[in-house]
Amino acid sequence: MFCGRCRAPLSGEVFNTRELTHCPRCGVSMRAEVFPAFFRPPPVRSAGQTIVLEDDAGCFYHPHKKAVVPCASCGRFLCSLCDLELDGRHICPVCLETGKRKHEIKNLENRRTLYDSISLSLAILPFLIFWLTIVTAPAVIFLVIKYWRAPTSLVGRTKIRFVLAFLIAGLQIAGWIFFVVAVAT
Amino acid sequence: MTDGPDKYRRLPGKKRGFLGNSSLWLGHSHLLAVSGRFFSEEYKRFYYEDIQAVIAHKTVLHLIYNVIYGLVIGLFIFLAYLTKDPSGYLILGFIAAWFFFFMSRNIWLGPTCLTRIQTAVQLELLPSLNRLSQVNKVLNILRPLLEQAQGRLRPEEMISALSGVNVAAPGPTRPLRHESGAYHKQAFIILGLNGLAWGLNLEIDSPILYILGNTTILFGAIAVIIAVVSQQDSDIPPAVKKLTWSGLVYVGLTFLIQTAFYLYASIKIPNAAGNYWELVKFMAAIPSRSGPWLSGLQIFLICIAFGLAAPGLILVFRHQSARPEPQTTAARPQQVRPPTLSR
Repeated sequence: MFCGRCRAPLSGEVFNTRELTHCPRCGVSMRAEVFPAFFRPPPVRSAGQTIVLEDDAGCFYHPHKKAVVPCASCGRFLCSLCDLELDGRHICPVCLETGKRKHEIKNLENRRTLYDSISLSLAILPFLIFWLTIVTAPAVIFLVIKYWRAPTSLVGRTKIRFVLAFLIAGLQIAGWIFFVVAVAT
Repeated sequence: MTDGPDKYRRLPGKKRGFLGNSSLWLGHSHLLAVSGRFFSEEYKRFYYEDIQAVIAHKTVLHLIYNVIYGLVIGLFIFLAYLTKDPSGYLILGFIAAWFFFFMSRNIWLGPTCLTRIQTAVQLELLPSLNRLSQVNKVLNILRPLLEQAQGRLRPEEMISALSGVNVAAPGPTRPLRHESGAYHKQAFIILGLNGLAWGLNLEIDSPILYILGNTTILFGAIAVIIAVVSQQDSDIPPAVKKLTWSGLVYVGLTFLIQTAFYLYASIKIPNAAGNYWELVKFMAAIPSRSGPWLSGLQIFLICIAFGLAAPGLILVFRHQSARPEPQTTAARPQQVRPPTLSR
């Protein structure tokens, strides 16, 4: 472990002091909270046991290796090498890849597009150049309807942005209709 | 195969910026770092059994903020006093009051820091934990969860930790990328030109020089921002990095001062509100005709501009000349003969 400022290696005196201490080289005030995982070597995974008895079930992907657990998704037998533990479930590499590709495993999602923020921004920003709203207001309505059921932020959000965007766009469209009617008459 | 929704609890600390924001959330098995960029979010998970350490070191950013806020408050109050006009007191005083609110908030939040989280394979910055008080709160929340996932430190681990021996394997370090310093050179040249324009404007009341000064500040801001971004995780010397950040503060301060001059001019000659050229002529004459204080401020800015540009350029040239030239296949290494000893 190194000081974040001068990259000097840190020793045990500065660990877990629960208050500010100083880097031995650059003297910057710092706090280093260290946990047991720091001192323990990472667990070594088993490469899988070779089948000894004929009655032993074999892994689907390595038939000569002993199966230890079934995949929680597809039910295939897995050896200890193929066993991937994620959130307490044992799954195989293929199901993991499929789950990631189809966005079915939330813990593998690294990115999400926020369509509610896009809709709200598209509804509000054109106020700077108001005549743009004749194009953006219908676009906002379309976005709200299309992406209403799309997943939003992983940490949870209400639909308030969609609702506000819909209302603002609706008012803009109503304003344009009123304007056109007023000009026509 | 679908997962149920994971309930996340928000942890103290949030970083808001022009380009995005960062926050930290607590899940049942992991910590979730969320980075929002415009209309998307990116997630990084740190599982409790993998977290090795959280390291925070204090920075001086909160002091810099206080100095900047203080200077800006002083400037607006001084300009409000110079206008000797109730509307000037109101408008400029209101702006000063806003900056006073920001400064009070900065003092209340406490010292700033940079926080990193370490696992066996990564050392990641947590931008949302940018105040020491927030780091303390988050660690108090995290500690029991990590103890539950990892257990407590065994006595022999505690002894080795306190013995001063660094028992852990070296933490993962990120290799520094080579940066030639070309962006920094451009930024410092533009800052130098800006100082020159302001210096000439002090002697010659010329709206052209005033516009030139403002134009160089605008280009200088762009160049400095590019330089600041390009120097991240690079081998640019720390002194150059600090000068570049100071350049960013300087252009920001100059923008604020010019805005204050603009408001002052608009209040002093309200009839010229629609005539930009009249306003520019008035603003160009402010430092030389408004007494020693504003002239002094202009001289101070000129000194800062040259004070950043000159050493910055020297250090950048030194960095560029210190980098060894890459050997080409056509180049032959020079043969050095060993010295012969004569009896």
